[in-house]
Amino acid sequence: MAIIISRNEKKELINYLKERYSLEDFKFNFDFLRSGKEKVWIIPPEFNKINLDKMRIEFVGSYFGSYDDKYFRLSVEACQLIGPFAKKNFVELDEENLNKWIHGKNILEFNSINLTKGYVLIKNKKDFYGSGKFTGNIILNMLAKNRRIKD
Amino acid sequence: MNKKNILSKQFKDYFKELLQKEAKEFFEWSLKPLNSCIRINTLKINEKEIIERLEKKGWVFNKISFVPNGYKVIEKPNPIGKSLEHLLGYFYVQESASMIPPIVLNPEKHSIVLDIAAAPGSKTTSIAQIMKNTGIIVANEPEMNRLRVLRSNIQRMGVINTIITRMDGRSFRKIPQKFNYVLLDAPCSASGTVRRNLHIPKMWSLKAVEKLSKLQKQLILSSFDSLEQNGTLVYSTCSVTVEENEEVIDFLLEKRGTAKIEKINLKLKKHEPILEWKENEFHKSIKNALRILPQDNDSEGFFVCKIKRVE
Repeated sequence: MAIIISRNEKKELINYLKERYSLEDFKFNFDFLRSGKEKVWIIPPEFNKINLDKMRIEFVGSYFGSYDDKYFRLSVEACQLIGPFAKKNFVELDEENLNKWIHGKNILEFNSINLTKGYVLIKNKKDFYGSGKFTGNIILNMLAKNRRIKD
Repeated sequence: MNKKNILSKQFKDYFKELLQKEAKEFFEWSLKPLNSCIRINTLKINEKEIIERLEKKGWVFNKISFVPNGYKVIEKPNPIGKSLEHLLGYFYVQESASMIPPIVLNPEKHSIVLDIAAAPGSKTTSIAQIMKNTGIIVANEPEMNRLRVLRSNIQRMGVINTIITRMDGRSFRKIPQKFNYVLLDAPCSASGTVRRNLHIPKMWSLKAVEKLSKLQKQLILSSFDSLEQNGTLVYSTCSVTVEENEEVIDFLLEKRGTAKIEKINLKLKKHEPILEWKENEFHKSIKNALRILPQDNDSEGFFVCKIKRVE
């Protein structure tokens, strides 16, 4: 069952993301829901307007990401939302590496300016393709199977 | 396989009786190949930007005149589903006639909307786009497998304002929440979609149509009863039989005196709705519905009707 996260937890998550990606201008105009310990969804604040009585609910909002130990892994959509505002911890892939990424391969060689260990946003030109885990020398591909291109 | 054999005798007999002189043209068009169409997802990208980008990669488009953000794909370098832009959720592959119901519903921003038979999500995501991701859409789908596809498409298109429910659509009339807008894109015999699904006529039967018609009548009552006062219901199917369309609307008008049909102002070719069929005479206001055959706009066949709940 999903619950709306507490004000403190929301503040903590927003601060973490702001610091991690240096998001000065991004406005978090939504609320967060968490199911279990890890997965987080976003919903518009208007959700408190609806009476959910007698509705059999399966999913709410858009999947935003999940806690991974001390890090937070953003979904493709979350990366697309905040990516254009990020000033650090993103990797710009060339066409060859992008092709590897969308096929689910790890990235071994890349320009690592301003990267610190943890999740980094994967970018090509203006597009954001999700996030990968930067271990210090490679980026682990965490792209969900249904978001990869199959040959 | 000879394409002419695709249309079963039962299918042909029904539409010969319904369309008479136009039946031949309907059969010919039902067997013509159909170009893919895409709807640009303006929640994620600027329309002009994505079209220019795809054109540079060798795609060729014709803009669909009767819906915003819709393009017919004339040429494409690779399968659509394998393009990066599809992966990124910059567009949705959707038949042009299927883009019409959300446009007719046209919900205002911050509204509360029910999409009662939502999977696979083409219309839910289109509604979210019209509402600019504000308000709330309750997207319902009773079948788990179809619900997963719905969820996946909602996610890929960057839609955040949805609650996905798994309920029998007929039970919505019993819930306390009422809606500003309801879309009922009803389960149907898909007789308008032969161009895309050549197996349809083989499976099609009048018995199935009658069974579906009964279900559609129950669903339209549930949909209408879920509306708040002055709310708007759009009923649509991708079938062009009378039993699944005009007869269902007539049933609603008979059962609910507060249901009024509104005229649909879209510039496209269409056919007059059927007001007399077999021994039945339908309410005259049904003439304001939209009956589209494949030959009208080089699309699939579709039926759309806009209904207001007045008190």
